[in-house]
Amino acid sequence: MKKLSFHGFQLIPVKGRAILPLILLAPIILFAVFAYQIAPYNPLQTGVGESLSPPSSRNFMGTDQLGEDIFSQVVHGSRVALYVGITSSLITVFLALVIGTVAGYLGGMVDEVLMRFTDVVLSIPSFILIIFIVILFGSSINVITLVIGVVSWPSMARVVRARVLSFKEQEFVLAAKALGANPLNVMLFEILPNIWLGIIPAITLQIGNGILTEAGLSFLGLGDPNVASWGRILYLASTAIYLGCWWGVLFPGLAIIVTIISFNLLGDVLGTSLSPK
Amino acid sequence: MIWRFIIKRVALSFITVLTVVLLSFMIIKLAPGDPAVLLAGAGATPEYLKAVREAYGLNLPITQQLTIYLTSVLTGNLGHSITYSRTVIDVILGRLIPTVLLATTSSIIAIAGGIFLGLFSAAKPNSLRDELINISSLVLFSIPVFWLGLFMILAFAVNIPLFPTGGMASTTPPTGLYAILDVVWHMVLPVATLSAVFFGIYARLTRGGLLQALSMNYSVAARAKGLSEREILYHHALRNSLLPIISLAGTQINLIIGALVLVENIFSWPGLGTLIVQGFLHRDYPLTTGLLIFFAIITALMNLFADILNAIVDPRIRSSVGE
Repeated sequence: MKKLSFHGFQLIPVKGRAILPLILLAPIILFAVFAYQIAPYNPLQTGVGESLSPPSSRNFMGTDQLGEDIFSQVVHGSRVALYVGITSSLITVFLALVIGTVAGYLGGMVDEVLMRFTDVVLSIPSFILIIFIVILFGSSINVITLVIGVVSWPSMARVVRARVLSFKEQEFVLAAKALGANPLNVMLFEILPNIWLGIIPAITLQIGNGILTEAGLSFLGLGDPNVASWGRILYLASTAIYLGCWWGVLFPGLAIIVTIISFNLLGDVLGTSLSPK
Repeated sequence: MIWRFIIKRVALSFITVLTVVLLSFMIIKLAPGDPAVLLAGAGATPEYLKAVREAYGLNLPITQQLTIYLTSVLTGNLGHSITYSRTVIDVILGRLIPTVLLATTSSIIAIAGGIFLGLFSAAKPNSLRDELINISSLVLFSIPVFWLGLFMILAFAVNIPLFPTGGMASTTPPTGLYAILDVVWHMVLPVATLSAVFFGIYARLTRGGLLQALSMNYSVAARAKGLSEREILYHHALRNSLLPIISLAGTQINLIIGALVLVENIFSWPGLGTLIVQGFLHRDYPLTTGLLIFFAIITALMNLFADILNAIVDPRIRSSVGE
């Protein structure tokens, strides 16, 4: 997971810092929720405009070589991006919580084995592994989402484990143990509620990572062909780039960049405001 | 002491590669469809299918299949590519040099540029230039590499036709010294794209490392001796944080491989990154399996190298690992 602190961003006062990424994300979320109302055309309907026409009043982000409306694709693409980003990071969070909590709480041999396993998974070239799995299981959007979620847990599991370690010797946990609570109950009802906040920054970063990975796959032409993903628009634009199709590069690119910067900034803000100091 | 560390670390790398090999076996087994058809290709004759079944022992119990798979991989046999009708190892080695050329050139430029920017940043922390470098690092870091590549082509190959749109050499390559210049000319855009993405990361790593070094006791001592901040930065802090920065760079290999695959495909660079996508498009399962294992070995080696370098520089790491 990327672990950079965005120093320059600290110049903006805390209130503004939290608002900026939300303002940036607002149109994306709006597009995702009201995609069918906002998009003028079916995003995958070919021939709604002329092939490769530049932005005009009819297709105001232009069309691709199949004559599909790029604005409609960008709108529907935010739905795909948020779906992939949020679902895959939920899967990541689940795995990371289970592995990190068990390793941190039980300690000893279990911890040793799980953490070595985490090291091993962390050093697997994940993008190549994702491509490999998608080749064998087919490139449906659900397979891609699941795979991104499943390969991304190791760095978050480390964060979870570190948080668990800092809580497991605290009085309320010791008290619960002394009262005879079994380990599962302690983990679920004493430790879990306390580590939630600490891993939220890691979750927002993971949402950004998930979106970027899916866009990369679609860009290579390995994504779900039946889904209007931002990466797919760029993939089509890349084959028409020699004809000067700048609109197919600019608009979906802006959507991706705005989304990724917002999630990165959000992670940074939440990291500083939620850290219990 | 250092040898104990190295042996433990080598064992861990070996386990990593072994895990990937086991994982690939498991995934092929779990995948829908007949593995014999996957390995032989969709257009295989019944005789060839039978031969493949026997060669991989697909009629045997699963534990024996695993043994056969493991021994063949460990002896360097990654099977036959369906599309290239050569051994997978041959195909991979044939594409290796362009990838290594692209990856090392970009890494060297990104590391050198990143260290320079980080130094520039750390010389005056929290100044305007520090903030500017920080913000541009964030922006560079958030731009998807494939978008940056497309932008480069659009700007510097289509609109202002300074550089070729892709490939590694002209269709009729010149001879002698000009052949090298031709490759360099083709490398400019892909290298610029790939290194731009990592500038930010290395600049941040350097800044962090330098600021930490500047607060260490030896820097305080140097300051007490009356040395200028400039001298402390270059002769004390930089010297002490240079190797850790380079070894941290080694741990970025996982990110680099992902970016490399994308950049190679944007610029039709004839390396391993384009090979894996071709393997996908032709459903060449032996080739993609081979590439997965190959990349796992490269990643493991780079991580190993970075860790050993770090342990040589910093003795505390040696004693803390494996206790």
